[in-house]
Amino acid sequence: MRATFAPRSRRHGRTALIFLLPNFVGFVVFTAGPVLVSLGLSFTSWDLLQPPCWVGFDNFVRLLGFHLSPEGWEANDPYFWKYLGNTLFLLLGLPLNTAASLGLALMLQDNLRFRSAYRFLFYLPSVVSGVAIYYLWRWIYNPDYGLLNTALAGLGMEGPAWLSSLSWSKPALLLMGLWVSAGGQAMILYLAALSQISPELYEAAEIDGAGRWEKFRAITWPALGPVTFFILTMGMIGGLQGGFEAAYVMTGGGPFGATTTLGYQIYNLAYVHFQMGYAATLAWTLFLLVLGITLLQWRFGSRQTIA
Amino acid sequence: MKRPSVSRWVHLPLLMFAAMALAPLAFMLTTALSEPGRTLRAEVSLLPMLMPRTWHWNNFIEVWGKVPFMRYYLNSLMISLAITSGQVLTSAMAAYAFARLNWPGRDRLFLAYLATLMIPGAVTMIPNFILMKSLPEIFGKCLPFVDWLSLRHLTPDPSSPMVGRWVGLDSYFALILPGMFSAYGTFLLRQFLLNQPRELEEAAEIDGCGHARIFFHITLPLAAPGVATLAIFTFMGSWGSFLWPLVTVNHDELRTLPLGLQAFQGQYGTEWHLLMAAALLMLLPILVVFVAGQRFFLRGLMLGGVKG
Amino acid sequence: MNPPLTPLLVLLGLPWILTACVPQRESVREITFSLWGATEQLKAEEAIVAEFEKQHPGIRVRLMPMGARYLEKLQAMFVGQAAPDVIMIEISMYDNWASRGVLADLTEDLRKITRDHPLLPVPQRAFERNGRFFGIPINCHGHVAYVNLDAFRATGVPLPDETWTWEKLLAQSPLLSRRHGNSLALTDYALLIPQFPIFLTAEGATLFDSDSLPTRVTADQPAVHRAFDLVRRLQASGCAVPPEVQSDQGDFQLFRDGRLAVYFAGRWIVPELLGKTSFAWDVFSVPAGTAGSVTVHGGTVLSVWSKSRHPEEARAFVRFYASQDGARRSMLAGRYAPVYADLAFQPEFLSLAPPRNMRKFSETMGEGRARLPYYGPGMGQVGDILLGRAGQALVQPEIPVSEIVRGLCFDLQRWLDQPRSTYPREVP
Repeated sequence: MRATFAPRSRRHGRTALIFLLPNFVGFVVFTAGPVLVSLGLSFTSWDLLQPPCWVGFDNFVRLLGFHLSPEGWEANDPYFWKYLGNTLFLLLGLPLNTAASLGLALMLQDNLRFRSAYRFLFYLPSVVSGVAIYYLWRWIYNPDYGLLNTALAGLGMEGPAWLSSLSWSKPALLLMGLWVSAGGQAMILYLAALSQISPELYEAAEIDGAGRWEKFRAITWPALGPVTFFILTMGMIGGLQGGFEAAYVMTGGGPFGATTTLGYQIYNLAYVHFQMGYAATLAWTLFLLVLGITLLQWRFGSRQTIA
Repeated sequence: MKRPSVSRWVHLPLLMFAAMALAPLAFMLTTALSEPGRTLRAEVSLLPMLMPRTWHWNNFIEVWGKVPFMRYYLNSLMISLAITSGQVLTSAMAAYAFARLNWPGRDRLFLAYLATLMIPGAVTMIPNFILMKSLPEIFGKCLPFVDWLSLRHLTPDPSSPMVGRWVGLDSYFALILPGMFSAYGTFLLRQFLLNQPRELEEAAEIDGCGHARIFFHITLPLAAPGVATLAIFTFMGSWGSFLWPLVTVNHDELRTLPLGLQAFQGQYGTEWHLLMAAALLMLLPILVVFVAGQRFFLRGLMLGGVKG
Repeated sequence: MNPPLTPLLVLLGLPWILTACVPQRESVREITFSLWGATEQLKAEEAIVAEFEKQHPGIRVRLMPMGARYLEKLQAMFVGQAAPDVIMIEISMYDNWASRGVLADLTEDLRKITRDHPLLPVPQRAFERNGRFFGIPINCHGHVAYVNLDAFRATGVPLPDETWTWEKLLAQSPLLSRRHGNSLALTDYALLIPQFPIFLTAEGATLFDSDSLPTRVTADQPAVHRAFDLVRRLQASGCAVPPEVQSDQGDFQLFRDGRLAVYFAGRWIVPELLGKTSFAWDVFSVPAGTAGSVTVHGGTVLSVWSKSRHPEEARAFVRFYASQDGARRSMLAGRYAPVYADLAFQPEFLSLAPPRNMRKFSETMGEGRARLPYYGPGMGQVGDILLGRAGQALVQPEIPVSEIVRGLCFDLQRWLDQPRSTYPREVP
């Protein structure tokens, strides 16, 4: 196939340069370059009003280290661990949303009437998601006049002050995430994957006397392995760095930092307190965390897909 | 061929889920159509909150007058269109270089592009912010004639926020430029081009066409679905972009719609009816683009999910 | 099919074309003035601005009211080299910015306007750094106690006077609290426990050897122990508002709705109470501790951006606003108490009742009547440390006070050891 497309490398080289240049320059200036710059920044302390000051590993020690105090070992930055916990808690939404998407996809079978209408309606929340929807859900969670508490009052229960409550603010964000993502990209991917499973497999299983659950376990679930792996990987990457917009619009990170994720804290450090160096340190730590977890998933996941 | 049988009862939970998907949006519409005082009166039963009882269309008009909503709208429109056109063009050209041309280091560079997809936005945003902030100083020192180009000499007060802020924070430059280059767009279009047959292009090359003509007259038209997909994705993404405009913009004249929604939050209470009306107005173009381009959208989602 | 290049290029270039097409300005020097405040207060500011423009033709002042996240936005503007010329600043950010050189030195301007009208001691102390001022005070009074007179009278509790102490309030609180004591009381709770520093000042505690140039932590002293003990006992009485209620509803709204007998704040909530309460109220000095009736204070200044392009006009405006004349106008608008000795005790201010006891605001600015634990860069971090330890004292009553104080000393020492920006040492 390549033989007909004779490789005249040198000519391609110059042409390729012209074609590639705009994108490449932008890539270097706005993506690749900043990655290295922020690594350098993480070794400085800079507030943008005075010249930067080199501090070496101090920022990392301050972020990740521990010190001995009268009450025992204490974290140098207890807020980091708290916000890391918040981020990981909110990641619980990932398996939740994925399972919900799978459920919806399984229900939308090929010969269903109004199938595309259902698909449109389920996908609608993820299309409109964004700042507007966060404001909407903030209004829904309003303790006095919002939809949720009014509905609960109609059932005779008194709903909590969702977004200002220490115990309910994170579950509230999870619920909103479920509404936004349940019929979203994951569902579309599952639908596509489901349509590629040959129906003869199901027929054979039925002849063998398999019930619905066995058919799912033996045929459907393994066939969906790669898609599930992809969804979980991308979802993990996105979930670890997310949570900023929801927190900013709905809770301001509160109450008392209960909904602050690592992504929100980076914003706080960089654009509220203007501690650029320390913010870069946190950003890079987050990056390494994402990298580590993704590599773990690859190692664990690829073994699964082979099986 | 017999497909697994579908019970008719599946419509029951499906309808329930569809209702749950729609309920918050119906609530949004109801609030947007309600009168100022009425949103604050607690309705006890559920249904009145989901179906508009008052049709106070005036809210949609009031939104335009209360804050410079038209300005926010135009800003968002302009910036999104500029980003979309820029990103589509540069990504298409780069994808052509990766998918159709042969040159040393091509595959390794593409791997580098892929690797950056995993980097959290926060890592690159801080240096970009610092870069944007420092550009006026850099330009002023290195290229004084560029400063002249910014038309500052036409205005007696260069410190006023809008005029003369050609670069730096609080400028359209800062809002648009970083968004015009995307590794994801390159990846998407490269996938598209690789799946596309090359016979027409090879024939044209044998006939002696230059790559520029092949690109503009053959490749792009054939790849129109992929380009449309990328354009839709990029437009919808930049329309709702929040964090970057938030940190870059301080003056009201440059606000985009997501930032503009904040204007309805007063110090002593939020005017929810106006806020919901404004939010609906903000979502309108997105809905239109989605309904019109559903085909491309869904295909693009699936393409993004298939690893090359 | 030719891709539409020309329209694409036009689209790309549109923003810059639009940027340039703005009408020319007339040659009037315009300065910007950033401030916060609700709509009614902004009207008062506009009146002051109108008067200034009348006296200084050729200078125009543009108000930039910024609501939520005022400090964040200002910080971003400093960084982006596009800050307002005149800036209203709160004491919490004053040091951060002044020590980093973004605020102009206004010592001379202050001397000009206070030559014949000296400042009261507390505002003078609060904003002077190494003999220099980086902003001119326009408001600096201390917190007073807002008292629900009906609640006191109905339960037979004597109204506060000069002999009122924290111990007395503690003893009175069961009578004033319907939730935990007196079912006949008019108010649900006796008080809302104020921020911890007010207990430190009441007991005369000092955290460092010097409150502006600290070198040593002195927090391990009996006064600090007493302060923690006092706040714990107030909490344990059950007559104070529990933290969960505090976070769901606004602070002063509890007082305004008649659920609180005593509330501690400055003059700024008076416009929120006028005509909106169903009970009679007045203000008194805060209860006295071992060191007397010493309270904490807030503070607002007007500063000039050090890189302002119209420094002379900006200073002229600041001088006008903060002078005797301007201060008289602001005090009439209702938010501030004047920082001048000869205004604060004159009938003109004192007759601005309600509340009847206007004098109490002025008294908090007298010598030794109000202070803060620390005056300098990093004030916010010290406040956070105190907040954390006070929270620990309230939420974990099983931990003895001595351990909490030890933890406090440790935290303060760590803060002291960290590098932070400082003021230039030399004084011109």
